[in-house]
Formats: sequence, C-alpha cells, structure tokens
Amino acid sequence: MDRIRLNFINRSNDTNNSSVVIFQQNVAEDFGELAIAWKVIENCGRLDNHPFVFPLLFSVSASDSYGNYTPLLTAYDGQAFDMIKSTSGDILQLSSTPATSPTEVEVRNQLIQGAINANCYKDGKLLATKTSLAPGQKAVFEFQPRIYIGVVSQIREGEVMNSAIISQINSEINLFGITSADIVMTGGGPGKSSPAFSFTLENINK
Amino acid sequence: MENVEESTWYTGDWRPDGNNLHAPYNGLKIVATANYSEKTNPPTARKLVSVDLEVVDYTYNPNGVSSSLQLTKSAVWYAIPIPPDTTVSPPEPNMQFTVVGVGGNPLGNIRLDVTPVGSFVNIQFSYGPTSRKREEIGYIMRFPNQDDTIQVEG
Repeated sequence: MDRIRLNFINRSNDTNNSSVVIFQQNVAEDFGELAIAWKVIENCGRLDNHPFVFPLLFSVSASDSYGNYTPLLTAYDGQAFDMIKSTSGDILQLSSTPATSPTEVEVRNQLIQGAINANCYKDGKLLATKTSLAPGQKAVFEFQPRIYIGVVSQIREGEVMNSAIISQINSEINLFGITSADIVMTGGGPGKSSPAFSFTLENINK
Repeated sequence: MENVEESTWYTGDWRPDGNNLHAPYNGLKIVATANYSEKTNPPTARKLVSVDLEVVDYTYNPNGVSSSLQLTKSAVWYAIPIPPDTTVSPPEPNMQFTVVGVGGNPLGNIRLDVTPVGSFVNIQFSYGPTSRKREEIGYIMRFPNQDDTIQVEG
C-alpha cells in the first residue's frame, strides 16, 4: 500500500465558506515554527465531499541560487541525496552515503558554492521545505503517518504558514495502517456560542 | 500470558533529546505491550489476548505523569483514567495529567480494533496545556493477531 484514499466531508454548520488546510509536521525539525499548507480545500459547501489521495511516500527536489529546479526523486527512509555540480550543471542525485538515521531522508548541499533549497512533495504538492542551505549543510526530513487539519483563512496551497497560523490548527489525525477513510468535519456555525470545528474518521478501511 | 511485542508512539512537540526547560516540558507518549496466549505443547499459534497501555504525559511534569489501562475486547472504547495525585491526602485527580476527552467526553478514549490484517490501537482524546489543547484521533499502531514467530508443527 503506497497511498491512502481520503474523503473530506463537510457536515459542519459553517457559514463563512471557510477553507480547510491539511499539512504534515517534519518530525526531524522542531515543530511549530513553520509548515507548508500541503492541501487547502476551498468552497466545500455543507454536505459536499472532497476526495483526495495521501501518498505514503514523498519526493525530494532541490533548487539552486541560479533559479534551477531539479526533477523530483522518490525518497525512501534512510536515503540521502546530494546536490552536486556535474559536467552538465547542478544535479540532485542519490548519495552512496545513507542518511544518519534509517528513518530520515537527507538532502545535502555538496556544491562548492551557492546555497540551495531542499523541498519535499507529496502528490506533486509541496509538503516541506528547508531554505538557504549553504555548502556542507543538509536538510533532514521525516514524516509520520499523521496529518494536521484545521480551518483557516487566506491560505493557499504551497504557502508557508507561520507559528501564529499553526497554533490555530490543533487537530491531528493518525492514519497508521489505513487504506481509506472519510474525514468528517462538524461544528462551527454563526454566533459566538457555536461549537468549535471537530474532525472524525468514518468508513475506515485497513 | 507472555509479552511478545512492545511499541511506543509519540506526539506533541516531542523532544527525544531531553525536555524543555519549562512547561510544556515535552509531549505525550503511549507505550503498548501486546500479550499473547501462553505457549502450548505441541506448539500452536499464540493469539493476541490483550494490550497493556501506559499513557505518559510530560506537559506539566518533566518526569511524566502516567496512566495505565488494559484493552481486552475489540471495538470497545476504554476510558483513559486520570491518575491520582498521591502527594496529597486524600488523593485527588492529578491535574498534571492533561489527557481528556473530545466532543464533550470528560475522559480520553482508546480502543482495539481487530481486523484480518491485525489489531489496531485507535485513539480519541485531547491533551496539552489548557490554552493550547490538541486533539488526537485515529490509528497509531498495529499488532499481529497471532504471534507469527511460532512454528506450528504438522
């Protein structure tokens, strides 16, 4: 199983046409400072559903100071990737030296000069990034089968969310061993007395 | 019964290299130990009988506050008890244990879901500092329904 089929269902009483953001935490880094909005569900009206795929694997890519982007390379736990300068230019390649931890993926700047950005993608969408890696530095990525989900405003897919936004998102859904499930949102609504948004799993298959 | 498998799950801003200097000192961890039926002679496959759980909360205590429970039935929500604070007399609920329920339930819940592909530990609770509770739901680990290391003769 390399992916989980998820289906977001809006059963909330929201009247603000709120957007729902889904992201993951890079557990190899301190949480709470920055995160990327991996998926943003917009205009999902009451009783609408929004199916999507959550891959278990992710891909890595790097960009250099010249504005070049490498192709996406599928990354497996324990692998490391080196950005090097080849005869053709800057390329990202699988390293013969594995990551320090068998549960992590590393992207290393092995250029002589020039910083790089290291990026992770799932389903073609940006999942995490580490910027301004100087030569000799590396980015470390590790993700658990868990997503963070919450209601936000004015966030677009791929955008960086700061700690102030992240602190508003406090629902974590653990997906260990799941092949498909519905994520149902309830709560919300007009007025100060309306309950908070809540998320539950239904129609779970393993 | 003989314990065969143990698994640990972490959440929160878990710091494996030591606690924070102030609250929240760390996150939450759940240690699960699967108990299989006793060995027989001649050997037969040992079935999963129960799962022992220890929920340890490091939010307000750098040494962690622990609550224990045992799951013996499938598809039944078990409440995560708030452990007693035995430093006072008579003991009171330990307020340093922040795990509570969601959706209006006072206590957090855990259950075991047995499927053909294994027995899954399913959680449903919120935890953390009062000003920043986090909700956790879903499946965090899986145990084999029977001990596959046993070679069944014949």
